[in-house]
Amino acid sequence: MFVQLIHLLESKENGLSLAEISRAMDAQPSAVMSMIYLLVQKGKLIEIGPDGKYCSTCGYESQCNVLATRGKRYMVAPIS
Amino acid sequence: MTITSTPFFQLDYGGKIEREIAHLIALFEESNFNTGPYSRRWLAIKLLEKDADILERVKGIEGGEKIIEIAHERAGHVESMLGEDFDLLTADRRYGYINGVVRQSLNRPLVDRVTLTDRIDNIVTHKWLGLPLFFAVMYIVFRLVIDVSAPFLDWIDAVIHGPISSWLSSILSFLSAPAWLSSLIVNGIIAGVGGVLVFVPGLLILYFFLALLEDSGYMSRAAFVMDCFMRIIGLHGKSFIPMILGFGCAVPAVYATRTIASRRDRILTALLVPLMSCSARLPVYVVFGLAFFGSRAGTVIWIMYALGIAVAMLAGMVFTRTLLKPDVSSAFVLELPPYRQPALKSVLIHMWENTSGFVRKAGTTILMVSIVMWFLLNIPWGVTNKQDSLFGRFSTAIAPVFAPLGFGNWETGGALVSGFMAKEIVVSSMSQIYLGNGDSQTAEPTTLAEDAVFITKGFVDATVSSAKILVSIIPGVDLVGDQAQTENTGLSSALQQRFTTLSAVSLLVFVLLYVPCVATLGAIKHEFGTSWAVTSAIYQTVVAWIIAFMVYQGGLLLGFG
Repeated sequence: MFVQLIHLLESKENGLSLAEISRAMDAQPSAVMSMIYLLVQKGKLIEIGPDGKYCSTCGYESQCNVLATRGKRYMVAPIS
Repeated sequence: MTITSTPFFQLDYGGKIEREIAHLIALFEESNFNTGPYSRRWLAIKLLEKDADILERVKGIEGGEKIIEIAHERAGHVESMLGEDFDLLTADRRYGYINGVVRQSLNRPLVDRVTLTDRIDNIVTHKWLGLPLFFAVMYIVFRLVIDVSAPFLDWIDAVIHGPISSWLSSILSFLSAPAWLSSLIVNGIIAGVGGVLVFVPGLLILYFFLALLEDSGYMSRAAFVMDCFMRIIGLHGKSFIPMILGFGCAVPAVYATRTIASRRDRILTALLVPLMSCSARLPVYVVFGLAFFGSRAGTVIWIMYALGIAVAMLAGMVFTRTLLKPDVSSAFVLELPPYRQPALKSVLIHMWENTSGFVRKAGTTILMVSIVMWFLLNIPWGVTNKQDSLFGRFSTAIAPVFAPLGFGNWETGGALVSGFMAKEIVVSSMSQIYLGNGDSQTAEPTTLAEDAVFITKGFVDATVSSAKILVSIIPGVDLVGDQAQTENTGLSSALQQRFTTLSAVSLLVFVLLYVPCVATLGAIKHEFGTSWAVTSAIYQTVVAWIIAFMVYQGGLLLGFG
């Protein structure tokens, strides 16, 4: 499942939203979310905003209306 | 996939991870490590996952530091092979299982999204096509193993019995070693251990393809396809996974039955696992296959593997109706992982680990048995006719038991008894008996440079021949013509004089089915007790004798003798 998820996101330059991932994987969003959390914690995935910017580096993450409306997107963490 | 109720659930994390879990559990038992309120399996998984909270608690227990160190080492080993963190690998399995359960439990609107994996699965797990495809894959693998490794087998045989024997003889005569010591080293150790080491290339190729099939995701499909057959014998597809491991070695396969929930299923699987043709039997098949069937050796070996599966099914049906009646219906939820390109590193590590185990065995068990065999073949001291030796007399006494099977000579009887230690010893014993009295010093002396040229040229020739054979697998391409026939080794020639084709087949059947090696019986005893180990030894020997008898006597009646 994780390999499938990472492969899916590897092919998406701008990442995918939770809904898009759950549709692509044919799984419930709640199930996919816990997998995404784990991968984010492990540093395999990063969260980005709808505009493609890293949310975690933005001081206004908690107040961002765009983020609240359109949700986070996820992409594979770039290899440093 | 089918789901039924089960009294006890234990998630199968797959071969590599399960091996490490079993290793840690065994370590807990060996070191009497007090796991406190935690189950051993759960604690082993958490230690391998490097769960911070558990690590802290275990540190406080006596012997905990050592356990943690070993757990880290084993987890690191798996991580280096699979290229992912251990906790991610186990989480992946859990999510895979949950996904499998959800897919079977929920009816969702049909979505028109078919992945490549789905398309392949439609064929390889097809109700009617799945099984023939599985056997076809295994047939191709065994053909490749035999055909591609044959030139290397000839090369190693020539090197061991040529330059290496010659060098050792020269060194021993330079050191003025006594004749008996020279004979022990050249006729005992070189003939015995060397006779087994020639099969290393074949095993490398076998393990390469088995690793390829496992890592690509096909082996899970094989277990799924075999599910319907396993149900006939009162088991389910999950039991086929240890059986597939049994193609490599029966010992880890017996321990792998721990992933099966029901004790009755575990015992039945462990009784059937030794019928899967392990790699130790491969040298016996290759020697006899090439000696009596030439280019068709691959087909014969494939038949042996298929026969092992067929007999396992029959034996399972008998056990299910007698000693091991089904208790409750067990669950079989198997996650079919998406197909993926196997990682070369993982495949190579898998291949090396298994083959190095074989080489280690050649350097320990087989070496020891070869030395003991040499002494038994030379006691009373100075005996000239091997049949008059201690080994010869014992073998002559038991040989009549095998006479109805077509191989009632003392040499074969003795080799089969020694094969109880490890099956490849059958070949090393025959090498010692048939080739051990060769006088290597009669060969023309060669210089070191000539030997180096001989070895290098032989290797290049073997590589070119194997490459041609490999390319010739492509339909319509034939680069080898009639040259594919391998040369007769000394042992092959000796066997051709003492066996007919029919008696050779009968012997192969007997070797496939008779008593498991001592290590396998030890594993069964450790897991299920002495009575089941004894049951396994007796029933397999009886079945082997009966089927070999049917093959030989049936063949004679049909005029194949």
